[in-house]
Amino acid sequence: MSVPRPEVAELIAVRGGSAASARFRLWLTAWIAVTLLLTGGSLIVGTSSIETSLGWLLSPDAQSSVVLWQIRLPRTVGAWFAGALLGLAGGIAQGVFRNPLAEPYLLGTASGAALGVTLSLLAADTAIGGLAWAGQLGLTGAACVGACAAILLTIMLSRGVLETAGLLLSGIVIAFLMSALTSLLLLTRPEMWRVMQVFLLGSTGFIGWSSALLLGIVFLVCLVPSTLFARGLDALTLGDDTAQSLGLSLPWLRLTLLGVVTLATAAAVGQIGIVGFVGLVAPHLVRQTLKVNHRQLLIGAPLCGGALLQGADLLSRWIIRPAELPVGAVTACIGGVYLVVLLWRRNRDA
Amino acid sequence: MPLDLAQCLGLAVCLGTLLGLCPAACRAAPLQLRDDLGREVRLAGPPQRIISLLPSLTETVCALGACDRLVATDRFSDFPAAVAALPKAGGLDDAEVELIVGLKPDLVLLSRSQRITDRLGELGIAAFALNSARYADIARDVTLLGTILGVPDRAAALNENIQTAVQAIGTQAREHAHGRSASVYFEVDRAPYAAGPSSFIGELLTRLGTHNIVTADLGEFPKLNPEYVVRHDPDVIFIAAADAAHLADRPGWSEIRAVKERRLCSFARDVDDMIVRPGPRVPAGMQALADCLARVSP
Amino acid sequence: MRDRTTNGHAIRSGDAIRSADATRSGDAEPVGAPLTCRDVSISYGAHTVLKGVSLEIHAGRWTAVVGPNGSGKSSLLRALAGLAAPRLGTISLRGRPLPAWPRRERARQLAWLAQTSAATELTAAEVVRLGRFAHGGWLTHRQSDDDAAIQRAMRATGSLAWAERRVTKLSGGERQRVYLARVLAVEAPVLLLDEPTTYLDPPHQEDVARLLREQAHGCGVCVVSAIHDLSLALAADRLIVLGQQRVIGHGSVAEALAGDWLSAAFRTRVDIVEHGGAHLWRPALDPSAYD
Repeated sequence: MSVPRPEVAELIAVRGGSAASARFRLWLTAWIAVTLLLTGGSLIVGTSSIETSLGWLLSPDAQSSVVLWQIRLPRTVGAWFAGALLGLAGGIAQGVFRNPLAEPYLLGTASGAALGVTLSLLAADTAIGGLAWAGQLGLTGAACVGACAAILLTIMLSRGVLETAGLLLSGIVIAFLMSALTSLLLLTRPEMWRVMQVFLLGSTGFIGWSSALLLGIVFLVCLVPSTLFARGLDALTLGDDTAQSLGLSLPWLRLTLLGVVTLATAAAVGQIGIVGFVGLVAPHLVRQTLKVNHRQLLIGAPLCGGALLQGADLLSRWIIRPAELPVGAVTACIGGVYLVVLLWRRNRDA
Repeated sequence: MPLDLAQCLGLAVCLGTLLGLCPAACRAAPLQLRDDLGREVRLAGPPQRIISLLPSLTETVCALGACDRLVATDRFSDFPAAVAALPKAGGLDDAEVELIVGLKPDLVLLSRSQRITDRLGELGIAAFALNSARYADIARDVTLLGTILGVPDRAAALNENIQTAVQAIGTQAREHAHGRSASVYFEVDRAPYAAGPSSFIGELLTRLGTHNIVTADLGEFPKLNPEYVVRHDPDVIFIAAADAAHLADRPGWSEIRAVKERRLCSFARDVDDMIVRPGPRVPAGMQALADCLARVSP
Repeated sequence: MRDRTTNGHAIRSGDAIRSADATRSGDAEPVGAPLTCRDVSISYGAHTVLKGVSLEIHAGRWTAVVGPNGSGKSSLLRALAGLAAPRLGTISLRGRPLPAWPRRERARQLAWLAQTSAATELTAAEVVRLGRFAHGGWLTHRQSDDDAAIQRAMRATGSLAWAERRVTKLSGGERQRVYLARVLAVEAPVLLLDEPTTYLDPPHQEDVARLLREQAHGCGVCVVSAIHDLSLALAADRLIVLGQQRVIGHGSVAEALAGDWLSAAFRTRVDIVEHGGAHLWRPALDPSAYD
């Protein structure tokens, strides 16, 4: 039986339209190209001039190989994965909270990580027995554990995850409490302020192959449930009741997605400290340039976030070479400019 | 007409008295000095109740023999042992104004970067700000404090001692190195923040005949790209003890000669204090640096 | 999978077509009333909205729920959809209490339309596709009968023209039709619609009423809708009249008029006239009509 012409057109429309998919694929290709460019750029930018670096690529020696392949490449790859994790976490957070300005640090992760780092530094410095675990974990582990603890406390405080407003509120409370505790602890050891400042401003300086690998694994682990449950986020946009009537279990969905956000954010924060704006700008940027459903968003946001952080890392190494800016300061500038442009355009259109 | 003996004696007594009284008079004369914030500070006489909010200034005051005049210090001043018993008036940025005012000091010594100077001024307390950051500041601080405390000769002597000691240590270190200048990297913080040659520590290291892998144009305490250290391959690395164990974990650092051959220098907290405080103990600090260099230099 | 476009009842031109087979979820035949309430009491927080509700809602009928504002129309529908557990009593679907149904299966049985919908960035087609969620779930991605169901639903509501447009770019009426299509796409044997005619102009309100009648009579679906437009509500087969925290009465339209349930519910005289076979509400605008 031959299918009549209108049927075919309807089918295509119902399937989501070829134009939209083509646009998305083009967008993806563009960002992949940007990523490759940035990776290449990262190899030649650093404490040596560009010409020297290019020379190294062509005729490598022992020391330049170390610089290129042990320092610069893992650093940019790790930065990409960290940015991708933050972008993914931001995209999910924006979906779960149905707020385009949500970001991964909303549930107190940043303050929790800072507290973890403080406890770890204290443990290394003093002989307080109870803190030995913090010292054992090292800064990375402590930051991770702190971030996870913060989210757990937030969820416990809000007594269940059904109400997003409640979650946000308890996130703010936990963030404040942990910040206060961190400040109090730092008062006893003021010389740790500088270490904390470095942590709070973020640094991609010491990402080696082991860190990059860890970040990569966590990214893949987070990507799988995200793309699987992306439709759930789509359903959530219709409203809690409608989503429930479609057969979704809201508590489980939220718990799983928040678990992914926790894991992604904690891993990123553990390795690079608290780098702001990437988790906010990446998904937001995707939505501004393209209209997407959540499955596409949760693929596009990591790509965008990864490239953003790679670019920020590159800039931080290049602007005042051979000294280095904290990467969080660079992302703050980028994020700030982006938001200002957004506001300006909005006011202009209004 | 020639002066007779009685008149000569009388004159001598008068002159003697005048001369005798003069130092006391000079001592009692009001001082007006300009501090490092550009403020004019007037003192009626040498202050008898002093509060010092900077460890190096505490040590200098004590080295000038005026330790008994100190009524309080900041929480970081821990040398000499006598000051440990004094009340602590807070830290660099959180000095306790109430405590300070309650002790009714004649003078508060602090660093240029402390915010409390205006507050103290409003409350009518004399505050003297000194910028003690460089090696050259040591001599200047000592002289200034000598003038303020009314012991200029002791100050001169102290300066002399410090200079001689520093020269001696420097010469000995250079001789020991047989003219070879080791390249050094001094890590202040694990970010990594390095001590540049224009910082106080950097100056000490230069006097010991080493050369810093950090160049002067990068500033006093630049935050480096870790790659920089790998590329410049220092002979000796000065680093905190806690970080020394994990240096090889930093990407690419296992290739640095100093890391491979364990040419690392770490200091205990009290020794570290001597190195970072631009005060009278600088020779001891420098000696610690020199000893370690002699031990681990290639 | 069978082609549902030809199976079952006759194809009507331009309108929704559904197979009567769709009323079966593959196992049970319609046994008695699909939805029953036994002594149900519904509360909103501490405030009791309805109590002592005992009803039977049958398949193949369009039941309209009417009553004054705040009488619990939405609450009743939400309870029937299983979205809010009643404080007392049991609601059963096909003889099984609602909580006993597995979530996914229940979602295939009951399709619910909210009174107000949140703004969403999805395209119309994507919204309607979400209606198929209960049939596929997480792992399955696009069955051919999903596409067919979506097409049918969108054609029935006349929303195919803007299938690729973002819902936020549509007018209120267009959006409402997309949401209706989503509910139809579920192809559930029970439709629970809270104010389905909101934002729609009269011609489209007619279309919706006609659609609901089709679904009930033509496809054997149990249609329950809360409609505050009395004239439209009176076009239904059965009425559930709510008021004063209880069910004033439930039965056919004729019974409702005979018992003057509407006046009892609204606590004022509700004038219903018959015209051309339809029951219409005549608003009393004459000042002398006020007692």
